[in-house]
Amino acid sequence: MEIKTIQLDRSRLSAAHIASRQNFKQIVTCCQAPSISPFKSPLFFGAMGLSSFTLVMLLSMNEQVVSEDTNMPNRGVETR
Amino acid sequence: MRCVLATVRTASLANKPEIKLNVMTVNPMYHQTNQRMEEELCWIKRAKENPESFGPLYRRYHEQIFRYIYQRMNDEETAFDVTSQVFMKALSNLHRYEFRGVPFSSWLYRIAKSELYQAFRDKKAERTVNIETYQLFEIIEEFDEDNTEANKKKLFDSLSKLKEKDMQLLELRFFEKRSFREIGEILDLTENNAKVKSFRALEKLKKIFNHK
Repeated sequence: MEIKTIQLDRSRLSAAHIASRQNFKQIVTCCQAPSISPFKSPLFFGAMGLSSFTLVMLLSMNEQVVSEDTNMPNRGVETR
Repeated sequence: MRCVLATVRTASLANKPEIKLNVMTVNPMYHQTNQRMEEELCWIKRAKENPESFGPLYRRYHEQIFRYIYQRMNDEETAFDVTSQVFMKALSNLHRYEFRGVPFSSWLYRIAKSELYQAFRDKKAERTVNIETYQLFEIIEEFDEDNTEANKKKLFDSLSKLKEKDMQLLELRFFEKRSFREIGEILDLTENNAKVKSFRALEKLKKIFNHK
C-alpha cells in the first residue's frame, strides 16, 4: 500500500453533518434483500446433485438388467 | 518507553497561556462501562433476531467509524459509502459475532479496516494521511528537537518515507490517541505487541528524521 498524500490541517467535519448522512433504512434494506441467487445456493446444488446421482444410478441399474436379459443363453428354447 | 506525548504544550503553538493537556487519556468513546457493554450485548442479541434492532448500535458508532475511515482517505463521499458498507457487512454477519470481552466497536473497526483496504485495492480511494500541525509538533518534542518550521518540514517529509504498516501504528497511537489495547484489537495484535510495534514505528520515523 502506497501512501499517496499527507494532508495537513484538513477542516474537520462537524458531528451534525456526519449525523445528517446516516441512513439506517438503506442498511436494513440491503441486508434483507436476497443476496444469493437461487442457482448459486447450496440447496439448488444439493438437489441437483442428488437427482443427477439417482438418475445415473437408475440408468446404470436398468442397463445392467437389460444386458443380463440379452446375455441369457438359449432364452426361450426349451431344453430337455 | 518514555510516557509518549504525556503533555502537549498547545499554548506554545497558538500563543495562548500554557495549558497542559494530558493526551494519554485515550479515546473516551472506546473505554466503556460494564453497564454500557451489557446494554450493547442486549442490542446485539435483539438485532440478531430482528435487523431493525440494530439501529441504536448504528447510531452510536456511525460517527466513530466514519471518522476512522475519512481520516485515511481524501474523498468525503467515498468515506460515507465505505462506512455504509461497514455497517451492511456488520449487520449481515452479526450472527457470527461472539462477545469476547471487548467492546463491539473493536469488531466494527476490524470490518472498517478490511473495507477500507478493499476500497484502496479497487482504486475507489487514495490512501491519505491527515495530520494536524500540533500533532507534528508533538512528535518533534518527542524526538527532543526544537519546534521550528524547518523541523516541521523535515518531519513532514520523513512521514512520507514511512511504510504503511508503521504509518498505521503511528496514526492510531499518536494522531488518534488510542490505547495500546484498542490498537491491538483493531490490528489483531496483543496489547504488548501493539506497544512494542508502536515504539518501533516511532523509532523508525526518528531514524529517517535524523538522517535527513
